Amino acid sequence: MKTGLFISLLLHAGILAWAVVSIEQTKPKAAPTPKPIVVDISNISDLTRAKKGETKKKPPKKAEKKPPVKAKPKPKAKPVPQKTAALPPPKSEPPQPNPIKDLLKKKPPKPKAEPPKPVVKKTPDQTIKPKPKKAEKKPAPKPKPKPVKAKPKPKKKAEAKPKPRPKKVVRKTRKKVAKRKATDFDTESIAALLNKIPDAKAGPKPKKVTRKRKVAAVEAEQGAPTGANDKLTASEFDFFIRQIGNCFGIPAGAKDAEDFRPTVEFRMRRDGSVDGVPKVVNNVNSPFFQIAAEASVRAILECQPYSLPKDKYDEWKKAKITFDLKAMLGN
Amino acid sequence: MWNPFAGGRLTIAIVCAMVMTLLATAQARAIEGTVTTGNVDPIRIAIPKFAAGGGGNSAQAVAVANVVAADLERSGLFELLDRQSFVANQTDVGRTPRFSDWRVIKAQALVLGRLSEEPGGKIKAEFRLWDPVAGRQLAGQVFSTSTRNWRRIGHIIADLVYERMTGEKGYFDTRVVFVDESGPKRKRVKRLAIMDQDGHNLRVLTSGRNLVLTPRFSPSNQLVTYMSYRGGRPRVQLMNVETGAQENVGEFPGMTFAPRFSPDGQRIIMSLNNGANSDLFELDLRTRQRRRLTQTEAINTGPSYAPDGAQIVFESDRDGGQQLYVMNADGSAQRRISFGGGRYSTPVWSPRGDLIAFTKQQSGRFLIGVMRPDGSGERILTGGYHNEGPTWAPNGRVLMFFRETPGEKGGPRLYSIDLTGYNERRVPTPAFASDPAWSPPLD
Repeated sequence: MKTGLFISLLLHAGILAWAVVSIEQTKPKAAPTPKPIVVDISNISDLTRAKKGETKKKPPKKAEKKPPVKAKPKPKAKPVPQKTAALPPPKSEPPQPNPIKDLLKKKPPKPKAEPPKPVVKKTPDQTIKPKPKKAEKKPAPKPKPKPVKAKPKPKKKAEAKPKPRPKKVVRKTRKKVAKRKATDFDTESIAALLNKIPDAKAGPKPKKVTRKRKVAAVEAEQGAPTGANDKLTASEFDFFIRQIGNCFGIPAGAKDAEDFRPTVEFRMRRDGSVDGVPKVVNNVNSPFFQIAAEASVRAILECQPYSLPKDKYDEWKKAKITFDLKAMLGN
Repeated sequence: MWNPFAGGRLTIAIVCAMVMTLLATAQARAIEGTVTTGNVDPIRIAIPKFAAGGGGNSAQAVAVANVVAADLERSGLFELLDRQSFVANQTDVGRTPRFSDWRVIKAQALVLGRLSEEPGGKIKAEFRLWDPVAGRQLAGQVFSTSTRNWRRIGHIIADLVYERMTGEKGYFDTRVVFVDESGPKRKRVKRLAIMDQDGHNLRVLTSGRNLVLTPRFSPSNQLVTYMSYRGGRPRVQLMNVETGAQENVGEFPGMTFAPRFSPDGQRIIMSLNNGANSDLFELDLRTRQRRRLTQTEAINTGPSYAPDGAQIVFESDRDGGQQLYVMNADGSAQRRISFGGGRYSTPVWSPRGDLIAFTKQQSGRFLIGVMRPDGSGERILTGGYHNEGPTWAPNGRVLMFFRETPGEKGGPRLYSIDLTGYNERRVPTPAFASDPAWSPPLD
């Protein structure tokens, strides 16, 4: 009996010892190394110009130089004359059937203006007023259980999403990185390299991670700067919208036009000129809406050609623009 | 059993689906955005000289075009393009213009017209409004009238252009009745007069023997009500400005002030003086029955109906200084709407119903302003030594008022101002003029 108890105790002790040792050993593995996020200050244009990666690397200089070189000649090469060039050449007017004759049929007995009386419908203000966001009440941080308690639950750790871990982990990683061969490409080494948290205790920074590798790592994440640039940047898009807005004359009768949002679709040529006649795709049975819709079409036609990047033509060859009169009038 | 035909159909279906998806993707690929800014620049409009057709008077044709141009320019919403800058030779109303010629000078609208003589002393006027940018006709009409109405032709064309381009009703084919003042300051002769809104076609309606005050147009016809003091006794008069026929509505005990029509033209509202106080009364023009609307120990005067006739705005000093009040048409629910500093008077409800114009006296200045019927959104449009008596254009976008200049040689003149407060223009009159009242659109 005693022997059995002794063996049992011995076995249990052995299992426990193994568990302690093995858990200790696996702990670093279980703790996922946080992937460092590259943080840098850059302008919105750079960010929105994120490009797809490309197998063939080209020197980044070219990509950097291209936009200014392209952008400059655009307005200079085709300033005002381009507008006229885009317009149909003056032809001899086609002898039209005199539409006055039709009007003569409607000849009123008296001089009389016959404008339909527009009923200005005052629709209730339909703006959805954003409810004031309540500050999310975060529960008071509970005192964390002792780390000892957390240890015997390795499963939870594995399930838990990677979150910024305490410095301890980083230090360990750094130490490991320092031990490793600098020539091995490793995200951890890049992480350590890019980690800008000053750490006095940490060992010397790995010096052998060259600039080339750094660029390669960034490219792996963001794509090579010379890749296909198929999306308009926020700046390019804003400029396009502003260009149209500058030509849009708010109709004087639009004061009560809370719901006037004419939407116009149109196609553009590669030179930024409008191809064909813009089409109003929505309709409201109101003379005021008609005026607003006509003003929208006029604005689109007047402001052409648009300064949009030719290499992204597929992105902007068709446009659908809404004119929000309510926003314009500050209602 | 495997059916190759069925398989083929499946393949075709898959290919079709893929093609459709590709097409849909290609179709849907469009940049979308919302324009939330615009400009309030005046519309650039080109109005070449109208042609004279069929033995028409070329000078008159040009004059009609000039009337159209002057009306639109005075509104502040249009910028006239200099005729010297026109490059187009073709201005025939019967042919499609060469739009590129007009786009070159950045014209956003183009008015072409022709005036022809017709038998029986009549003229025929044709006009077309073109959009050179979109390259299409926006309006076109032909009118026939007697030769002496040539100015009205111009006003009517201007109204149509204004409405087509701005969405607002035009106000050019209207008239203004006012008090024409002549003679030295201490012995002014005041006569009732009427003219086109641009100051032309002036006609004097009364002889000047009796003092006349506060003329007001009926909103529904060409009747005018005004105060006439014959032998020092005030009486409320009605006059048909077309025929000149006059009618005495009645003599009321004490002083009578500020008669004004109801929107349907069937009633007159006015204030009658009773000792130190005055109250508002409504007079039914058919039955001549009077109805008291206010009964307070204060001066209640200057009433004006809302365009729907349901409410009345007036001024009262019941709370101390002159302030504006609104009540229901039966006199109930009287409430104060003006709370700013200074004294408020001469309220007039806009024909659109959205605003009330008033005169405000503050810090020794007379200001013309507008506020919403609930008293909110007060805006001062203009100010000066003495501005008073605002009256609305029928479209509720422009106000006319009189401004008096100080000094022995000073006197009142008429001015117009739009709701932005930026487009203030003097209305030409041959002599001093006060108390303007804008007519409804002419029939």
